[in-house]
This record gives sequence, structure tokens and C-alpha cells, in this order.
Amino acid sequence: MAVTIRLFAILREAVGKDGFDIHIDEPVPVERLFEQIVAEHPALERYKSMITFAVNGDYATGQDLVKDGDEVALIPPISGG
Amino acid sequence: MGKTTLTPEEFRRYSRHLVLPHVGIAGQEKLKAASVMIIGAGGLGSPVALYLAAAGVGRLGLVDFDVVDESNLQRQILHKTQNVGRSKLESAREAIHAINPHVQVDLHETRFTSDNAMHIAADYDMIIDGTDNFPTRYLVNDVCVLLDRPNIYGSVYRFEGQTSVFWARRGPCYRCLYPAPPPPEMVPSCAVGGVLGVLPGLIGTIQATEAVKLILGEGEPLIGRLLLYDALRMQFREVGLSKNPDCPICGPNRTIHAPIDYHEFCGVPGAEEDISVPPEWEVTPKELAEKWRSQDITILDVREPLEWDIGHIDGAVQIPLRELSARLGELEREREIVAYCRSGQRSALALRILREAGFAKAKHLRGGLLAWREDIDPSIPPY
Repeated sequence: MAVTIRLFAILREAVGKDGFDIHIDEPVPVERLFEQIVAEHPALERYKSMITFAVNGDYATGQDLVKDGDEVALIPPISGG
Repeated sequence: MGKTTLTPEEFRRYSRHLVLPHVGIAGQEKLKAASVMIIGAGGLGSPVALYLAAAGVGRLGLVDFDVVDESNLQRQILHKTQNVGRSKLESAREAIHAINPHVQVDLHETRFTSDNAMHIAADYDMIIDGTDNFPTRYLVNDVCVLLDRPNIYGSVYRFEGQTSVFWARRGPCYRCLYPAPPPPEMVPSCAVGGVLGVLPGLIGTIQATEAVKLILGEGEPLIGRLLLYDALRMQFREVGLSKNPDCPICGPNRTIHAPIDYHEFCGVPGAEEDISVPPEWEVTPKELAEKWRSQDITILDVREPLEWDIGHIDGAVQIPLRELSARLGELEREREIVAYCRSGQRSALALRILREAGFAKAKHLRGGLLAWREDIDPSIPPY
């Protein structure tokens, strides 16, 4: 089972790409998925507190479940004007 | 035809609106009666002010305290080369009146702060967030929630933009999206990270569009939706947002009832206070040049990599400020380290991180590379 991860703004620069696929064995909550993402991309760990998650185009909390085929967006705040 | 507030000259000026479904005479009269406050006369505020003025919004309030700098001209299209050094608000008023002399322009030449924000904002129908920093964004949000005003939000970073309409009465607010501010050194500003000049033009134009729609009461406003724009890939994405039931300002059990101290909340020093560095932790360019020649020290460049290419001190070690906490292991605690950046602000933050981590001999270059250029190496371009 695979989930597509999309990165934005500073997270892209931290990882060096704008997205990747990640394998899950069963549906997992967003929080757990993030731990798995960090295991593969440790550079993302320190951004944890500032990331907003969206699953399939909708805002998601840490407890929301991610399933096979879902797209998860990691959206950090930006402040330029 | 019944009574109208529009003059014959206005009929000519707004004729393309007057024949347009969803606007017409009634819509144009609504625009004329409307008031919009724009926080920040910069990259986002520029297209917003120009388009709302052209569209015939009756009263625009502008809040800014800055003067026009040459580096603004690449994107802040309110301001012309001849106005470099002048007040941004005077420059903005000129540009607005050149497009539409019928618009009333209120100038609030001040920082938007917890002390004055409620008073200033209460006088307007809606607020445009065109600021460039997190403390003011949270302030704008909270004021809009407390006064029940739509917060037409936009922000930009390098090639990417975000925009939405936060209106707590009808949907989520900015705090529902981002409950906690990011650690201060982790999100570079436009000055540090750079920004594509046309990007705020596009995001600001979307903000202006939403303001006009809200005034007209037409269409589907961007409430409960976050629009993400990527200029490099030329892609728009939308994220559906919902109200956070635990939101401290717009939730049912709110704990915030008046503006708070946003600099403390965001962990960044206020603009008026210095990022205070004891004098014994500072070195001047001449002192640094002397040490560099005669002693065993490390010079640490905490700027972004592309700034290195513009100019640098030869032999310096590069660790951008936002990576510093994670890369302290690359530095020797016992060694004398002198951090520098462009102007001395980021290096002061770096110094705080170093000192807190036990680098007892860390210092920073007062005035940054700009001072170094002045006193030591004139070949470095000013930027």
C-alpha cells in the first residue's frame, strides 16, 4: 500500500524534492505516518510543530487515518508579503 | 431610473462594471460605499490597493511605517523609482490617486500593534493581510475575529503563495490553520529567502478579487479553503479547511478576548527593541580583520547559500541560521567563533543559539557584511 506525500515551501528545500511515495502496511493516523516519514527523511523532524497536514485536499488532524492511495500534503506556514 | 449615488463621471469610468452581471449600478454603489483596510503597502498591498482603487472602492485605509527602499521596486508596484527614500504611504496615495482620484485614502503611518489595531480596524468593513511577519499576521487575525471582520489573507515565499478568506462567523480563522507560530529562525522572510517579483502580484490580485466579491455579496468566497500557488510549476491546489473546535480565539471555549503580546507569542523581538547583544559579544569589522589575521578563530556565515555568491568573507564556514541548531556538532565549543550575516540581525539570533548551547567564546560581527564592506572590503556589493 502506498501513500503520496506532497511537500511545500521550506519543506521542499529541507528534503530536496517536492514529494515522494511512502509504503504503509495498514491505514495509519497522520501522526504515525509522520513518524514514518521522519524515519526516511530526518530533515523534516524539526518542522513537526509547524506543519499543517491535508489528506486528499482536506485539512487533517493527527488522528485522521491515511489509507492506501491517499495523498498527504505537508503545508508549512509562510509569512512573506 | 431611480436615485443613484454615482455621478455622470463615475458612470463613464465604471461602465464595464455597470453592464456586468453581478455588479451593475447596485454593485458599483456597494463598492463606492465600502471601506477596506490594507495592512502593509508592500508586495501584496500594491496590487490590492491599485485594483481596489481602480474598481471604485470608496475608502481605502493603508497601514505602514516604512520608507520606499530600492529593493522594494522589484515587486512593490505601488512605488516608483522617484519615490525611493519617501514614505511608502505618501507614495501609495500618489499612485492610487493617479489611477482614481475619487477614492478616499486614509493613511495610518504607524506600526500595527496590539495597542492601536482594534481602534484602527474598527473603522473598516474588511481587512487585507499584506504583512510580512508572523506576529502581525496573528494580530490581524485576532483583531478580525474580535471585530467580526473578514480577514483576506495572502502570503508568499520564494515561488509559492497561500491565500484564503478567514472569517470566523462563516468559517475557520488563521489560528485554526496554524495554531502555533513557527520557531522564529526556521521560516526565512523575503529579505532572507528572496521572492519572485511577480508572485505577490498574483496573490495580491486574488486578495483584491475576494474583497470585491465580498463587497458585492456575489460568488463563492474563499472561506474555508486555502489556495496554494506554485509559480515554478504553475499549479494551483486547494485545501478544504474547517473550524478548529479548540481554537483559542474563534472556538466556543475561547481564551483570548483582546489582542495579546504577539512578539512574545511568536518568540521574536519587537521591531523597536534591539536583538540585544552585550557589547562584549560583539566585534567591529576592524577588530574582526585583526583577529582573522593573527588568531585561530572560526568565522561563521549564517546567511542563505545564494547570499554567499553575492559576497562573503573568505575562509568562513557556512551554516544558514535555520540549520544552525541542528548542525552545532560541526562547530568546536572551545574555539572563538564570530558569526556574521548581512546586517547583524540574523547573526545576533545565531549568537543567542550558540551561547545557549555553551559556546562561551562566540561573538558576532556588528553591522554584518554591510559594515565589513564599509570598513574593510569595498568590493562586496551592497544588497
